[in-house]
Amino acid sequence: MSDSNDMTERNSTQSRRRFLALGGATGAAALAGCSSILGGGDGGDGGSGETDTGVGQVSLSDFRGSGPLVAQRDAPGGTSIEELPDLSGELTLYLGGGEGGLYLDLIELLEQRYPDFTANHRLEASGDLANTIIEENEAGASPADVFMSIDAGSLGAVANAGATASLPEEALSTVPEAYQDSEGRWVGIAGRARAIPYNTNEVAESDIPSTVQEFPEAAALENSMGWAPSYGAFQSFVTAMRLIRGDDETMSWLQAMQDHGITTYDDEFRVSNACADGELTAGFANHYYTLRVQSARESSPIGLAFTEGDAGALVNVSGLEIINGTDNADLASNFVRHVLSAEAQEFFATRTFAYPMIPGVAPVGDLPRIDELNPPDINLTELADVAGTVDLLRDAGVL
Amino acid sequence: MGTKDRYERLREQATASERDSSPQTLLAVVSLAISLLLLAPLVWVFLRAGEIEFARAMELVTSDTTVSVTLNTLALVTGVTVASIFIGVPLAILTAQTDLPFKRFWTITSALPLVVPSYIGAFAFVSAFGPRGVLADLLAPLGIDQIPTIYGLHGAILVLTLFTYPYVFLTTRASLLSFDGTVVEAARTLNHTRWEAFRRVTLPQIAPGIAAGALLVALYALSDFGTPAIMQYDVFTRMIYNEFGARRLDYASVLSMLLLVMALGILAVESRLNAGRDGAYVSSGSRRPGLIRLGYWKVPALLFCGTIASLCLVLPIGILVQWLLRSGTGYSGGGFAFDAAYAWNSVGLAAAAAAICVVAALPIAYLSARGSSGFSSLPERATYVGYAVPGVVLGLALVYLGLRYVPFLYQSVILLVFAYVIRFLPQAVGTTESSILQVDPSYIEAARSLGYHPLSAFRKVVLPLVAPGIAAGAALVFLTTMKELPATLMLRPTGFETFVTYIWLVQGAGYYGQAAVPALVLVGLSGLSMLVILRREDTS
Amino acid sequence: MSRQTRTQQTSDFDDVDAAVANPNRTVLELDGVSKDYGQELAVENLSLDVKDGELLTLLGPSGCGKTTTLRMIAGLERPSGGQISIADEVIADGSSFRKPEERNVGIVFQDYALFPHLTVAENIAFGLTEMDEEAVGERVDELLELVDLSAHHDKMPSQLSGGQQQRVALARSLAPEPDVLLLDEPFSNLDVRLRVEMREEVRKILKRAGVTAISVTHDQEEALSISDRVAIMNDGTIAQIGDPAEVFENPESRFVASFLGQASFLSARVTNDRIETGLGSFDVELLNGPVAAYNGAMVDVLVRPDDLQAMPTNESKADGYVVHRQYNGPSFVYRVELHSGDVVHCMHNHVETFEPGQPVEVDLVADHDLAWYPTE
Repeated sequence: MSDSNDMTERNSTQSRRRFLALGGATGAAALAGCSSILGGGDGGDGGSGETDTGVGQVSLSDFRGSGPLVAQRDAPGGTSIEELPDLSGELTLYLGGGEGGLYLDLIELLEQRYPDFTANHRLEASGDLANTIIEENEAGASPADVFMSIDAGSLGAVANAGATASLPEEALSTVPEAYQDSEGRWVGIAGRARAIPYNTNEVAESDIPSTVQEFPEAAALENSMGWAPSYGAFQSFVTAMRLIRGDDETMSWLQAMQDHGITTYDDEFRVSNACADGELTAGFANHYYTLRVQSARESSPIGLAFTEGDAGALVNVSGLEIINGTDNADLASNFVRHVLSAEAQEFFATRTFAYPMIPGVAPVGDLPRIDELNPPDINLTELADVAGTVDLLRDAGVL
Repeated sequence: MGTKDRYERLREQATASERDSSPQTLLAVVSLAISLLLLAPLVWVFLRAGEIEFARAMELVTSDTTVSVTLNTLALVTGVTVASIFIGVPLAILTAQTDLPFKRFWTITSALPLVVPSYIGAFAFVSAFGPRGVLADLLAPLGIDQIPTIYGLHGAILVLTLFTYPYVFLTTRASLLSFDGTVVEAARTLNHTRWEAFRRVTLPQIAPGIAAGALLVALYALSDFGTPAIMQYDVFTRMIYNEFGARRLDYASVLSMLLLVMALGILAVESRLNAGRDGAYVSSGSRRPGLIRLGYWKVPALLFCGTIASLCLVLPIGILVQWLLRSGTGYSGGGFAFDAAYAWNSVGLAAAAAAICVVAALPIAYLSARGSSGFSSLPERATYVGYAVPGVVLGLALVYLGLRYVPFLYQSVILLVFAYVIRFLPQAVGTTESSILQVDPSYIEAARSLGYHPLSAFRKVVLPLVAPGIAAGAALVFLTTMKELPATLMLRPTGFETFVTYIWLVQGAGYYGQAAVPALVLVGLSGLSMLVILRREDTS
Repeated sequence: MSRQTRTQQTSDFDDVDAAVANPNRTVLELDGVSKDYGQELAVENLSLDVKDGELLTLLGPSGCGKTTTLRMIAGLERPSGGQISIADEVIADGSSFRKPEERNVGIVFQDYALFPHLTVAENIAFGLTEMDEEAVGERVDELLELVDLSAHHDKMPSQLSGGQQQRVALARSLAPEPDVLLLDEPFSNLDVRLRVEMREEVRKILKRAGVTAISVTHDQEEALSISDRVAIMNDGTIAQIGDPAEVFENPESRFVASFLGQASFLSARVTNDRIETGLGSFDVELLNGPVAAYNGAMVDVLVRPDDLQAMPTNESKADGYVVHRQYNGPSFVYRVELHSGDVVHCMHNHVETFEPGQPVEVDLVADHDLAWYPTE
């Protein structure tokens, strides 16, 4: 099934931008949940030979996705769950954000592996859950043991309200400092890089500017770009721009982009699809949408570029934190370590096309490694000021 | 002797008689207790707002953003209400009073859009008419690459209208069906054209019915979050949501208060329009007016019905099917597998909410229908306030109050059902009240003179007669509960999923194909409950 | 005493009176009953008693308080003052109030209030809560027979005609054997022909059942034809109470007179043993009761259309002119304006036609004493 012979150009040139040319493989996301795909073939060290996926028997191949982007991967490095204490007991997990649903699969795998472990989960919009946790904390104690959210801002809001407990040092030490709270109150588990999907038939990689500020002047992209300003990730990007450049310059940029001609979409998956369809020449989107497009549609002419050192290169993270007052602190800590294990990170990389947070696990395809990206120097917790951004977007006539 | 006189007299008798008996006092106490219980959570909004210093509050209230959002909200509510009347009333007349072909079919298609959650409708409209939607794809080969944007006020009005006008349709139709046709004939003999007779005789008589539906539409438009959010139009709910998200609770609570004030304003307007409301529901004659012959108007009338049905039903269902076909069932990992338990959870919650609503509605509706003082309709009016509260505000209020005062109920099904009752009780009260008004008050007196205690008289005589109205109210609550999202997300027990939370989950992750099947099943199940509402017409 | 004889003659129903054990026992007594709604006084200091098996009708115009009185007896209104007793038991006074379901009072409503979701038999059985099923069945059959509807046992009320519905309502309220049966405008929903038929029918049923009944109506013909006694009400008080013929022939007030039948008043001056009117001079004996105290004063004499006869004549002999003709089918009633200024009505059979403007001589043809009232 993993028809991977067309995998091309495993080029290790560390360019600031990558051109991802993939095709041929038909592995659809629809099949991503099938187990044992790797079991009979290219198994990793932790999983080779373990084709039995009965209860309690979960192999690396179960954590790993399938399809063209995933084929021929090296075994992940880092701490394997084999080395961690067993998970046991009942954990109450608040999952923030619609895409947090993707993480449910990981939780299910862990539950399969540890029959004594149950994660009682609650999935809501990340901001709502942050509010809920803060209210719960103020009223006494939150029922949640762990808050796992797709959005660092909501993690920061809960942390700033003093509703977190300390994370295990073993977990914090595996993740680069840029992707965790400076006080160690939350830690990233998967990264999402801001990126520029573009149509490879329309423009060449060199037509994509290397800073966000240059986009309004890029002639090749006039009247052919798209964005999704109501989308949370885009708003984080604008928040980052405000932090770096200030409100006035951000406002001018937003207006300049509108003058340049830009189309509004609901979400960035649609922006990315539109680039692949040639409806757009380029757009602003999180990187993994392009990978999802590629994974689902063979030979689609879509490439991915990154800007450098500015808001356009923001790497936001999904992360988690342990909630204040948990009576399950040991289990929660152990759970955090599991999420940062080699297998779980392989899951994020291959199933959700996110950036793994531990250096031992590589991102899929030709994505630059997380330490090869050049993100802006900002504290992700500060991305919590969404309100100011919403006001600004509104004033600029974008929202 | 004039039948009108007779009814007025009966009504006087009814009110006079109950003035003398303790049951009414009991009824008033019970009704008041229910309405206070339901309004209690809104105290939270005032508690929050009360934490703000006065000067700051004034600054927030008078800020440019607040003013523009207030105007936006007013524009949306007014637009949706007016547009719903312009769609709902003609459809009601066409299906109730003309020789339109396939009337029964059009009656069902006209009522059915109510079962489509408006956020699904909004998604469907964006998919169809959005910048890269189906319509744009169809027009592109013709060289049209720019279509007017669906986003903004007009898009929000369009979508909200198409999925809420059935409230006006249903209440107007009920008024028309119980309307004494002889007065129209009288007007015609007084040299009025059909149109003049309609305007001067029919319209004033069905106006309270129209107003009852329009009230539900207006309050729904005020409280809906999903549609304006998807249509990118700034109204109170969207602002409140954003402010809560940004944890600016003071501004969020000020906006919530303004929203409540607007809801009270809408209620006041409707009460004024409905000063002589009772007449609307009571059919004072049994004769239906003769059918209006459409003649050459048959074709435009059919086109009108067909267009509305296409936009409200064919389009969203078509888009759902397209999602299903285009993306298959999408990602089928464990976290996204649909579990039949979700369906049962939805149905169970909706059934519980419907059951509690009809029980709670009875005393309130009875008091309002039969009460003698101006106070009698106060509990009934109060229930409508809850209907206007956006799910997110109610959710947070119940999170806050639940945690502090009833921690054992926090994140329990009980608190969730309570939230549904707060939001949807007025729908049950409205249908129950109109049924009670159609029951001759002397039935109770007759039963009492035959030795029955008032309560058992009510149970033996009134209850069987208002049962169809109660069932219709239950069905309305059932189908609106089935599609409620924000409060469900915030208040459900951890690990408890329903149709809508599941649809929200997979849609949020971009797996539209996964959302299609449950969304279609949700629409189908709710559609069944709509049949209960329409059946009521046959029995009454 | 001739009056008494006539009363007996109007009653064709004496044969069914036998159902009552003690016709002199008072079953219902109202003593000084009042009812006010805030400022508005609906019933004022009303006293009344009704004997066992008697059919009393409260008759009066809209708003006279008759329905309120009925509803107070039923317990559907609480009196503001006074006392009501049924079968020697006080059921309402200043301190106590017995609820309608505890009074043993039946009501037949104006629109019958038949429960539309129950069959005829179920409606009738509705009040029979303390009997076993078999007894209920028997009682229902008995009542269906009484009201002659045995064939309609299982029908729904909506399948019955107006008259049948009324009889079901009657059967239903009679079923629990109430001490008092109240009838609220019982015939107003029937068409004219059925109304006449049902009056007799209902009276027969009531008499056969031996029930004490109070009926309320604004229809004088109905009141006079079915009742044993009539109470004319006006402004919350009883203006006159008595047997129908006595009330009709001897109205004690101008109000009662003008409410019953088509009344005209003839102005007259009393001069010793004569009265002078627009129709000429008559013996004072013609008037009812002692007139001596009014010697020399003006009085108004009640004349009904059948008391007068008009005859065409020439201008010089005429008492007045015909100004209006009212055709009733079997008869004409002519309105005549007398030279004296009085307006009177004369009844003629349907072949005697005069044109408006015809000068006429009017004769007083009454064979009974005439009621009169001091001129106001």
